[in-house]
Amino acid sequence: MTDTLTTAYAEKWDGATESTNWFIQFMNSNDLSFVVLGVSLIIWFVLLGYLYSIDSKLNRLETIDKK
Amino acid sequence: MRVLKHIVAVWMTLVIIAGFLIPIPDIPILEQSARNLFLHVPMWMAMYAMFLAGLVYSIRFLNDGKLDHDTKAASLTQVGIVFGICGLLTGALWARFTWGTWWTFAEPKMNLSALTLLLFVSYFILRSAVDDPRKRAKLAAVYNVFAVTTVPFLLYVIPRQLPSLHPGADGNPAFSEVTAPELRLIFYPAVIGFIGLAVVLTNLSYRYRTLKNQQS
Repeated sequence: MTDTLTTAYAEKWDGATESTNWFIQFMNSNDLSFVVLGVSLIIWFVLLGYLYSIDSKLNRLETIDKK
Repeated sequence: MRVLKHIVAVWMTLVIIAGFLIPIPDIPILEQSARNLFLHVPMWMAMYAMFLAGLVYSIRFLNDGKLDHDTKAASLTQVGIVFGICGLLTGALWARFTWGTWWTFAEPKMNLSALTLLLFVSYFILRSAVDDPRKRAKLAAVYNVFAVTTVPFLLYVIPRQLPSLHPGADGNPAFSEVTAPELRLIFYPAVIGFIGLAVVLTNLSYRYRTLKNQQS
């Protein structure tokens, strides 16, 4: 049995292989500028999704109102 | 609120433009992604502000029993969760390209912030479980007091005791030591701007809830 409580099982997790697909390469390029773009887009889409959800809930209220 | 939304719109536009354009010092590993300071960190500040305001309204509800206060607390908490989700997702992306992983259980702040969000999701599960508005408001207010009280411990006290990749934790310099002064020039306005945006969104959610309460 390997004692994994006091010593690390390995320097690197076996499952972890540094992937170098196009997405990772793209994000790592340009001094990580695209990470900032990605972060901005995440915030934008989450807030947009929230606005859409309020909008659809309001629509539902309005249709009930008309009935 | 009529004026505030316009101020927020102009303010945030300026913050975003300035955040992308100001020259920043060369920081190893972070490089240009240091600009995420203007986006990722204010998400959490906005979340704290909303949860804290939610706590105030929960306490006010317990004091005077006005259902309107409960509606405000619920709207504030919901927007707080939205900003928390933004914080988690942006943090995961930032972590992947600076720390090398989307998620790590060795990072206390990351995991505890996810736990915090679960606590507040439970707030809404609790609300949805009770039909009587007055009973629901009372239970939710008491629960919210408990939930908000845990936040400083989960996101400030505990992460500071443990080794962490976040600035300000054990073995890492605090925010004040790693942050170049020119970054603060945008960072603080960004915090104010995102809190303002959160208030505008809360107002929308509050108005929807008020309408819904009137109908039912």
